[in-house]
Amino acid sequence: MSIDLSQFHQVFFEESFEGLDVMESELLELSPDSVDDETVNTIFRAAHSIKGGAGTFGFMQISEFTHEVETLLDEIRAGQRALEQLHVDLFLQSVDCLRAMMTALNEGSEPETARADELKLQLKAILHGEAEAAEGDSNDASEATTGGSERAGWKVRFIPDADVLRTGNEPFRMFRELEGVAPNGIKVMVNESELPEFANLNPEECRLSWTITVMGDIEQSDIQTVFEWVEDDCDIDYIALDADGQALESGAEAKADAAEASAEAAVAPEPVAAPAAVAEPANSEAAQSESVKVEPAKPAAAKAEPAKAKAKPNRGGDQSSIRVSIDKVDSLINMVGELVITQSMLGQLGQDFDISRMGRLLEGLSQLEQNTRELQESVMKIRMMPISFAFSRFPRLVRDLGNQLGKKVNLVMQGENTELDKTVMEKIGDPLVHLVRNSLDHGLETTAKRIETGKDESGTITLNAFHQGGNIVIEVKDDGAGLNEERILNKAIERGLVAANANLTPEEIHQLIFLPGFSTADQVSDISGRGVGMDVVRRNINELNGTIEVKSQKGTGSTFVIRLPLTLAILDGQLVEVCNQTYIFPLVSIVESIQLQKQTLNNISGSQPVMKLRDEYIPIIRLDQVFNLRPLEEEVEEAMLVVVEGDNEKIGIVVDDLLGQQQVVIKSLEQNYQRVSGVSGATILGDGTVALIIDISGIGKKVDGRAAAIPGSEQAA
Amino acid sequence: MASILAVDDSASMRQMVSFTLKGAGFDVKEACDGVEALAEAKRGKFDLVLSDVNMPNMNGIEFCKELRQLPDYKFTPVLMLTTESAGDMKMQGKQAGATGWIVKPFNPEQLLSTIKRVLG
Amino acid sequence: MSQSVSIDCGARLSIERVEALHQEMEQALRDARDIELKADEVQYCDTAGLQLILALFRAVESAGHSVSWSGVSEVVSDTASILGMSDALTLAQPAA
Repeated sequence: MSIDLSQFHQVFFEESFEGLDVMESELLELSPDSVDDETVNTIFRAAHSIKGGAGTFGFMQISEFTHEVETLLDEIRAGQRALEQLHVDLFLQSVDCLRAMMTALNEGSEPETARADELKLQLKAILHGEAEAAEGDSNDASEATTGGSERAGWKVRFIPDADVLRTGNEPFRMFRELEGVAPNGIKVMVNESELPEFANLNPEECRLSWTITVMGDIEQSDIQTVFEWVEDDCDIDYIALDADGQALESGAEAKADAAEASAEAAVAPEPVAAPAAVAEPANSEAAQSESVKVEPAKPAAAKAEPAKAKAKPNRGGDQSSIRVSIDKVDSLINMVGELVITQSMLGQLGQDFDISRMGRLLEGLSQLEQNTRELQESVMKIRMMPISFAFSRFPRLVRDLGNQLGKKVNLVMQGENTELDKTVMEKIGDPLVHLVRNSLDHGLETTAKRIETGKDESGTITLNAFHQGGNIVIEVKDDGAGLNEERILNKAIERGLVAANANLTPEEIHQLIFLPGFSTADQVSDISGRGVGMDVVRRNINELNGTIEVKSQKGTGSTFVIRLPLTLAILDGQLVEVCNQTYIFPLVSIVESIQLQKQTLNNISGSQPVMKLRDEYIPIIRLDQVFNLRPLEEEVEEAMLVVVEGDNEKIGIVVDDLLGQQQVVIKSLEQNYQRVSGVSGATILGDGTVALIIDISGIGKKVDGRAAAIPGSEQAA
Repeated sequence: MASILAVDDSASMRQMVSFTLKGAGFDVKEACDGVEALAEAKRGKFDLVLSDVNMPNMNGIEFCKELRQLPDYKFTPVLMLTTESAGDMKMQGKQAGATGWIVKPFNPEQLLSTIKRVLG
Repeated sequence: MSQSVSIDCGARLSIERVEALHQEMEQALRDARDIELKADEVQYCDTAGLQLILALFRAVESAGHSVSWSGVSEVVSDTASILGMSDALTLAQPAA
């Protein structure tokens, strides 16, 4: 029977990535000063499972490497070796390395093993130290046991332990198996001399023994395999026989123990590579830490990848899966059950309906409404995951960055169980990383500076998540120096982002950091430089229909506040009317709505219409023109101006009327039709008509006249 | 047909074991730790129990001890899925009442040939 | 005291039943002279089961009585054969 093991690979990778995450987060908890047994156990268990699975599914590079990690962990777990910081660091690097290797395997490519080999050497050096010599010797033992050449069979004396039957070890099955491996069959003789009187017999105990003659020349180890589960408790002698059935020279009589020793020697790691490894660590620890730092490029690349790999394992098509707790599924099934009851009740009512039963009908309909709402909520919950999935990478990140920058940092995470949509979670990861990096790099002062200003020498970065009115709010807070308003303003003026004589409030100055092309760092650092600015962070968050703002107080720190919808599938929308058509604006992007004077509107023409709104000029666009609904010169009786903010810019959009606000389910235009610029999707309204959802930043681009051509865009420009 | 309880906290191992055994015509129930397995064992009667050693909540050794306390499982074969590096686990397993062990990694063929030693 | 008693080995002649069978057989040893073993419905039999029967054979024989089989299933003869107990249990060796 042959079974294709590749069908289990996907599950193996998923659970292994999870296992690596567990290892990483637990390792970060681990400190040599206070070793928590359960933490070590958890780490060991994760490594153990990865090794076992990798071996089973044929990923030998993974299982061989993990074996070393596991062995060292096992020694620490068993108290045979004291935990050192060096070990923790090495384990963390091993986790990175394993993750990179598994990501490669998951993508169907051959993993890079250079890094693994290097780490393996380091692990082996710790493990074996001077024990090399002993290993070499034991290897020879296996050859010694293969003795005489004229062997024609074996005589096996099997005296079982009285308890052998109780644990389910059955002599008749062992003998049958032996019969299967013996080239010329076996002969079994029972010995009943130890059988007690009937009345004294404990029938569950085995009081018989056997002599088995195995005919044909086979290895002793083949016979031993049959008895492997009982050889420790039972008396088993193996006597090699010659062709006449006589015992060969007494030396051939080998006890189980000797052969076992040789079996174990075969498992021991090959000693060839090890001596080199012994030499290396002897040189001092400095040599080791150096070898880690020499190639920052590779580990960095490896670190960036696994996050993506976890998000969508792409082997065998797009098999992205999600783990759902049984509770959620059960509650769904319950609700579907109730829905079915309501449906059958309504069905019955409809069969012979008369107006006297109107009350029942209304009751049924309101029940249906409730069922539907509950069902909707439950289905949404399936996609919800605790934000700890996004937070989990930060302890490591903060630790590594802190070391790199020489800053002492405490990371505090709150609200880790706050749930949000899986897709939102995947997309918020990178912006969060950027913000945390930024806080560490620019927000927190150096240790020296902190001491100087009388602060605690270690800085604190707080990640907090909570729900607020249908949104999830994520805060990234540092207790650093706060934003340097003067420098920000100067830079913004220098870059021509604001007028030199602009009179801005501190809050307004803070928001400048989100402008495109703004970077406060005097020199682009390795940490948060990378050519990605806050503008990109803001754009990413806007794409999720979310917002970001910053609050800062000089000397006490800054807080970035991200507000995101709980799900991408449903949007809080403002319905507007233009030429009897309904459009939807995301509520989150609306700043205000004002009544528009006819005169004002008529004056809006030309290439770049703008309007003065209090202190600022905002570009105005007419939705009826964008979508080519009405000739430009046609009169508009009454109009509303909806001021929206997208991509850091306020724009005014002229519509005929404001309708209600409601939650709408977003249907993708791309999937059902094609991508249309200025429109982010569509929805179906209660009356069955389709309404387009306006993409605020997309439509804002049209104001500049740079937008890709869409129907009617010539007129708008 | 004989029924088997497969206990492992690793979903991929569980799936592989279960798939192999079902393919060979056995009835298979899965459990992901000792606690779940014990509950499952009380609910049904199994002819063989295969259990991983390292598991959260209740590990394989404790599970085996508990299982042996149940009258229905006094003599039922119990095989531990273990690894060669956990040498004394074999002894611990035996002391807990396990019948034997299967050393990881194993392939489906090895699994089927090994359980012949306790079933059929 | 009856002349002969029949003991039914049931469907399973194995370890989980040997305690009960042992008691039943002890009773039979006290009550009867000869014992007849009914084993034609045995579907599973193991070492503990056959060891018990062997002990019974020895006990009955030492008292000068006899044990006989009234029907033996294939499983019983096969298992006895592989355990090298066919002769001791007066069972025919199954054809190889």
